[in-house]
Amino acid sequence: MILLLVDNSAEIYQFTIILIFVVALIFFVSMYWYSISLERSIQEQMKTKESLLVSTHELQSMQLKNRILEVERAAKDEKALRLEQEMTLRNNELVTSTMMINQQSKLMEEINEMIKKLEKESNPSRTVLRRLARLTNVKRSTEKNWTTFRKQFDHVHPHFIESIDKRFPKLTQNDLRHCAYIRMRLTTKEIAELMGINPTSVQIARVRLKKKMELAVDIDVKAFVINYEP
Amino acid sequence: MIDFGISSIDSSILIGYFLIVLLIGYVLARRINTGDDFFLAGRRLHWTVIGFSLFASNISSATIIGLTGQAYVGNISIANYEWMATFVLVFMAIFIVPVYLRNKLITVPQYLELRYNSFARKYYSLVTIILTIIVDIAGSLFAGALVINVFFPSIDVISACYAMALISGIYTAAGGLAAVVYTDVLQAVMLLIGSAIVLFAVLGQFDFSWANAVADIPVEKTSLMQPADDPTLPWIGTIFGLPILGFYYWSTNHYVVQRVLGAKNVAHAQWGNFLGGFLKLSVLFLIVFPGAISLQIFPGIENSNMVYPEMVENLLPPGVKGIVLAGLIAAIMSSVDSALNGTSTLIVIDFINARRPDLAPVQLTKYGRVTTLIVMTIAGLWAPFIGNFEGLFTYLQQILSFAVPPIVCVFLFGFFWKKGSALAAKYTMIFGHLLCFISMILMNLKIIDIHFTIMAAILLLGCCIGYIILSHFYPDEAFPSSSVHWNWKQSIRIEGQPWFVQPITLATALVLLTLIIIFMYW
Repeated sequence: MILLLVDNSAEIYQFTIILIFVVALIFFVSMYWYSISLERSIQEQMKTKESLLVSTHELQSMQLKNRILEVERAAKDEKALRLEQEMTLRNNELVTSTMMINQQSKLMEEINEMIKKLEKESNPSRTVLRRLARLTNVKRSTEKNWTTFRKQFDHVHPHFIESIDKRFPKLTQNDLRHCAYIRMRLTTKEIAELMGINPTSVQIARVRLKKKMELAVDIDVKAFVINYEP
Repeated sequence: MIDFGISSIDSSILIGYFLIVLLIGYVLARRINTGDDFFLAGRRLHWTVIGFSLFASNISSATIIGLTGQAYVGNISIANYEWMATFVLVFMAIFIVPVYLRNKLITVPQYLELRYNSFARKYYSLVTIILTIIVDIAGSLFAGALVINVFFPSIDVISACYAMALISGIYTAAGGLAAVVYTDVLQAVMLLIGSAIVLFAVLGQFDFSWANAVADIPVEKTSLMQPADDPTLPWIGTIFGLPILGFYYWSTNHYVVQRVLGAKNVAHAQWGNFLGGFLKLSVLFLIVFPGAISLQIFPGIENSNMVYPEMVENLLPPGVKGIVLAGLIAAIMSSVDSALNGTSTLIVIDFINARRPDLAPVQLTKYGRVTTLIVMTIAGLWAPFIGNFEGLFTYLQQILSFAVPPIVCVFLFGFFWKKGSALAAKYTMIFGHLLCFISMILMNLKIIDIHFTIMAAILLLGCCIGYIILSHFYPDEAFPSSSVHWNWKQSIRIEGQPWFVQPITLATALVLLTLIIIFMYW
């Protein structure tokens, strides 16, 4: 083996030292840079954590507010529902009681007529019969019925009759009664029965009502009365 | 035998280096609390650490001595393993890394459980554990001990084996993956510095001129693509076989992939891969070329393994020799520690923790340390015997490379083919390994006479056909979740980063650079 080697020891030393120096320099510079970026990222992390905390807090309070609002709304709805239920219940009571009173008065009328017939045919103790007749006087009982009815009606639809009477002074007591029945959403047939007339007469009465109230042609009385706000 | 003049400066540099490595292991050991800390360095690895660690784990002293020697007696086509690694690492960064990290794997075989079933995981894990202990760790220790023995004849091979096993075992058991990868950075830098010095010294014989140095080398010696009948590495094997071996080594071999799994996030894992791939390109110039050039300086060395020691002995002045030797020993330790840590992770996570999922993080760390020491003991005790059973060890090394095709097939179809079934994976691995074993025997009996890289490609083709047929006839009833498949969107863009650090940009640049180098030495 022939070895004719050039001795480069000096250059190799220089190269080694430079190499190590460069590597060390790169290492320290990159470590410095890395530590700075690490610090920055830690700071950023903390900042985002803080803002996250704040935003979660805000979110929580907002959620709480929403929840309260929701509960309030629910309570309101519940109240309204109960009120409405009560209304219908009262209305129904009103209808039934009106019907009952009406039937009673019909019966009374029949009795009254029979007494009148009896009076004409023979003469047994006229005074008793007359007293009977006076007791079962329909007109009086009707008047009385109306006042009871109105009391109950006012309870369910406060100020309705009062207000409609004020606004349309031409209306008679009968007309007001008709209006009340419409307001109670009774059918024409039911109204006819209650008022002791036939359904056609009810319709005619309604037309007259419209005229007295001086409503425009295209307005439906029934709808007007139902939606009337006292 | 040359008489090496190792001065006291060289020895003290070496000892100082060992102390620094042990110190790093000690410092990092105190930061470990949980199993994630121990096995995956707390999943907070920076891309530079990953890149250097990939490089250092890959380069062992056998690589340095072997590459230099092969380039001396043969040609530089041996460097094809190196630049192919760059391609494979780029491929892995784009296609494989996002899948691994999305599933928060601790071990690579875990992927097979997510994709197929627990049998696939256990099987692959077991095969890897056995082969890594018997072949990789022991092989690296023995090759390293031989190197030490050349430079320090007073230290015999057996005690060198024990010493290397003990030192790397201690700091690996203490600091886990963190100790492995952070010492790897130091080791990679030492290795690069040492290699650069050797290259510089070699060029010094030619007036420090690259052109002068390569001028008289025959053209066919500096050609990466060798004819199809070349015994070192034919071009067909380079193109078809090396990607398979490379894919196995870089993308599915647990002890290499582990540092990628410990990345801070997908972006850092990808950048780490690119850095590793870039560093691998330097091997051609820093390690392979000095070997090819030194044929003109020291003609007539018979044992190719002595080329590198000759260069170190005859060209380097005292002091510098110590640095280069530290780099050489760094190469041994950085390969051994990775394999030790990787194997203990496989044993603890795939077998102990899989059976006892209730283990506390502290207990996992304890198991990891104990297993590392056990693996170290087994490999260290077996390593000195490699010299006595050299024929047996050659077969074992062959088994390692012949175990590759079925594994690669199962992984590749796992990533890219949704219809691949668990049953197909199971039988592809079992019968594929049987097939590979048979063909290995046939090749040793010279019944099949082709280069083993070409054989690997043929075997992979066979495995793939079997896998597709089995998947077609025995499909899985339920598809695994889509997170185990490659997803185009998650690989290409990293949010909030400028275009020049986007993976697709870096991948393109690295591939172009590699292609330029290949065409320069076609």
